[in-house]
Amino acid sequence: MKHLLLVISAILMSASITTTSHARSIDRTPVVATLTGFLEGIHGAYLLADGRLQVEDINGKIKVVQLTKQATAKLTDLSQSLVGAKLNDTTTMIICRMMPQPSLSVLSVGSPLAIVLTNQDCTVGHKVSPKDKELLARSRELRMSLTTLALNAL
Amino acid sequence: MKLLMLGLAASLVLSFSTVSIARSVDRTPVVASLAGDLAKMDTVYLLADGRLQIKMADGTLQTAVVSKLATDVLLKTASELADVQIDETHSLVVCAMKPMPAMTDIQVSGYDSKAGKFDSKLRVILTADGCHVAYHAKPQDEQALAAALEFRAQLLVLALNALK
Repeated sequence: MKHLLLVISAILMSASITTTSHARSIDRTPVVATLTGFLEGIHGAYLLADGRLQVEDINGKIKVVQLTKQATAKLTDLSQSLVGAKLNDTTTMIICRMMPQPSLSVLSVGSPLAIVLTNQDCTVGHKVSPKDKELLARSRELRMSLTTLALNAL
Repeated sequence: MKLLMLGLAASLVLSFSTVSIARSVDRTPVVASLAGDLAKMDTVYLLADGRLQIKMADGTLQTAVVSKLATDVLLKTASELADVQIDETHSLVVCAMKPMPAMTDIQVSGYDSKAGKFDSKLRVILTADGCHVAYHAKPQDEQALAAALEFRAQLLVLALNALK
């Protein structure tokens, strides 16, 4: 009887430790780039270093898709070229009242993440974009690539 | 004898249907193509129904289906790029440097806005801009150029993500 109790308690203890360990485990994969805004029910898209693309909808639900090695390499390359880019960062006191077009517009890269591109129209007070023309083109390419992949994941 | 005649008739019907299938053509309009040399890809074709056909350098073809939401965005951009003014230049001298592997040349189909249809008559709107190519094309308008660059990035990333 004692043996049986010992075995049962050992099993229960081991199970509880495993459960706690799982609950406390944190995914430490670095985030390479994020894109936020509002488009087709999507609130944000997060590119992880291992090629996962997490697409968060407006209800907070997350869908994860695994990108190919080639696509991940291309996106990571674009992101890295934007890290540390000199930025135009302006804040206006007045914004226009027109309704902005739905889009995923705010692009952040690097670790820690830093905003490198935002919506550029008059509907937002805070605008950020790379100063360099070539980097501006790259940031737009990265933003559009992530948007397309997020839409393709739905 | 009757059996022989029946057999002959059956084989005739079978051969006709085989020829008919072999001659059937996929008439889905081609919306755009992206050509170059990257990750063993030769040309990427976007079809109006959302299929993405990737012709590899070895001649094999891979097909992926793009989601409706992504297809809608691509078709809208393609229709806007269909009639932009293009700057074309031909250089008589090219430099001898080896270009970086890239998918550079975009062609976009003509678009009938009244019918809402693409006609598959492809026109070059953007090429590589280095000195290693003699023929350069790009949209005249800055905004259209930015749209073309983004469109190229969209097709490229979808193709790279479809590779098996």
